[in-house]
Amino acid sequence: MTQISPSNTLSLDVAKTRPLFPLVAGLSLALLVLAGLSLTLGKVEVPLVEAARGIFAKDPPLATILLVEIRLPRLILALLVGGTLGLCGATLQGLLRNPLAAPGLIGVSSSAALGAVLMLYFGLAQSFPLALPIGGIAGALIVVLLIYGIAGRDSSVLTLILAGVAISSLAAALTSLALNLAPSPYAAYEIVFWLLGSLADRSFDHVALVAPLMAVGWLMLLSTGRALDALSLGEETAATLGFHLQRVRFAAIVGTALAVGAAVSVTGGIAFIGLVVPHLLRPLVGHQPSRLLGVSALGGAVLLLAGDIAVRLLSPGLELKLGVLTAIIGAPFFLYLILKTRREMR
Amino acid sequence: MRRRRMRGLLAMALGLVMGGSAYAADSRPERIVSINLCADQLLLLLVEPERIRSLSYYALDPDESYFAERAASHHINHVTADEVLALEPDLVLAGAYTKRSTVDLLKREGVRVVEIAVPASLSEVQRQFRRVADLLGARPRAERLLAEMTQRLDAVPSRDKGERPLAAVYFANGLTAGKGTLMDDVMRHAGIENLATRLGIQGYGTLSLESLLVASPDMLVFGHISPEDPSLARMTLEHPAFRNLRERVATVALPRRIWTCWGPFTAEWVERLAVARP
Repeated sequence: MTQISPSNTLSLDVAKTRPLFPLVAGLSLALLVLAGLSLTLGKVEVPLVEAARGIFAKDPPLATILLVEIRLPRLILALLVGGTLGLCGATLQGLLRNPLAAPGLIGVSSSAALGAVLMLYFGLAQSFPLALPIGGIAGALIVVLLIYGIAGRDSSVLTLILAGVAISSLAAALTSLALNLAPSPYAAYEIVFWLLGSLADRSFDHVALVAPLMAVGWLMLLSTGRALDALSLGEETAATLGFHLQRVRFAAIVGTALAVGAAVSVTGGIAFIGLVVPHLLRPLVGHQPSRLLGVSALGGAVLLLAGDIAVRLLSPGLELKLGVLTAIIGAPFFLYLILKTRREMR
Repeated sequence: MRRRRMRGLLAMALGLVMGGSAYAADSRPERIVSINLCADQLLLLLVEPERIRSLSYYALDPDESYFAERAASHHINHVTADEVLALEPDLVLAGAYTKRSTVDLLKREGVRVVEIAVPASLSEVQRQFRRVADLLGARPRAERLLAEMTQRLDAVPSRDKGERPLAAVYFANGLTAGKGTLMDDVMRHAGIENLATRLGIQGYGTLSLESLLVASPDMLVFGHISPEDPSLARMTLEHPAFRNLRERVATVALPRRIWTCWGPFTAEWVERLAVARP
């Protein structure tokens, strides 16, 4: 990545009043507990001791296969996707200095979804296993190029947001078109169910496919931290402090596109995590954007993992869709948050 | 799954040694799991109960499942890969639209998964029924069931093309079923002309209220949606012009369990339509 923070960084550590350590430790502890719980949950009971013992066996027993090939990739994807959504939400909210910003804003979620839906629509998902995520990533990358074209020139934040809205609308319309033209009600259901978002029965193939893209995205996003702090003082101030705003914008948006595009392509739509998590944690880190980034990634991972556990606990019959649950809980909570801050602002 | 793969390889090697004879023995699965409603029906029809390891959750729903009662005595899965793997099946039957991730993961673990397509005509129903029966090593039983089916179909009094009543179909989600759908073929066998096909609709589409009123059908066929079901389609059904038509013409509501899946019992679909024919 390009060096974003200038060498002569002015001290911006105005808000370092609250120590980060207790928060990070608390979230990490929650993450560990939830991760352990996640591995024990499934439709069948897996004897964990036997499963763990079998890991190094030449011919692993069934328990090990269930644990390692089914539950572990699900857990890892929950952490990666949740972390991505939290991190992207925090970065975009810092970049745009707007608490309404969410990873879906720049159009990458809907285009990744469109890419995957097209794979279902043309029946490619049946002919080779990783068609869905590959389609999703292709959809996301096309949008990255589009955004690159837009953001590469001298464009304002407003241009980017409006372009994102336009791209989202177009992708959503094309997704609806695929539903509209679906050959049968069954094919339409298949698309709808995929769009609802889930982590069920993903494999390490999925992890291997999305992890590199996410890693690149994460590095780009994390590199923006100091610039975001400067931005909180206003664009002009940040520019006079020596930050190259075009570059910051580029890193934040292309990073988001890569990471979120990869996430959506394996899970389908998962709402509200990216929006809510930074809100929850912002007061706890002292409203400093750079300190919010890593913590939001951690918080997003915790929240999505909790959601994925809830989905499995709440539905004794067929599994609820994760994206549905996050929206059902996330939206009212977000409303409450807005009302609360409004009261405080008065 | 490595162990199973080994067993498969061993069987293949034996098959090579013993010539073709081992293939038949190997192809008779004994621990069959279904993760699809229609595969559930086929298993319950074709296979001895002790060879059925598990049926899908959907099989228990009497609205959707033709053999819901018979399914009650079987192990039930919720279409997740961990349940299926834990059952150590030698054959998994899925549908063409079963959750992609589950099917892919099972295949990745070396499980033999067969995906069953949706037939688009009565002859395809019979052809696919035979194909599945061969897979399950149940051809004789399939032939017996198919002979019964043919008998039932032949017993439906046919009609000349000119005197076939015209029917409008309202199917799942208010869609109509036109050319190239099983519904269309079933209607033809029941001696009924399909308005959607006359209007040139391919596959599933929508009937506009206007074209419905212009065509003035003799019969309305409802599948899935009844006027009580909350759905978008209900808006059409509650339109005064449509209500007026409903009161004048013959209507028949087909329970979902008859047409959601297919098999020899599809004959009942034909019979019900033929009986309701004005």
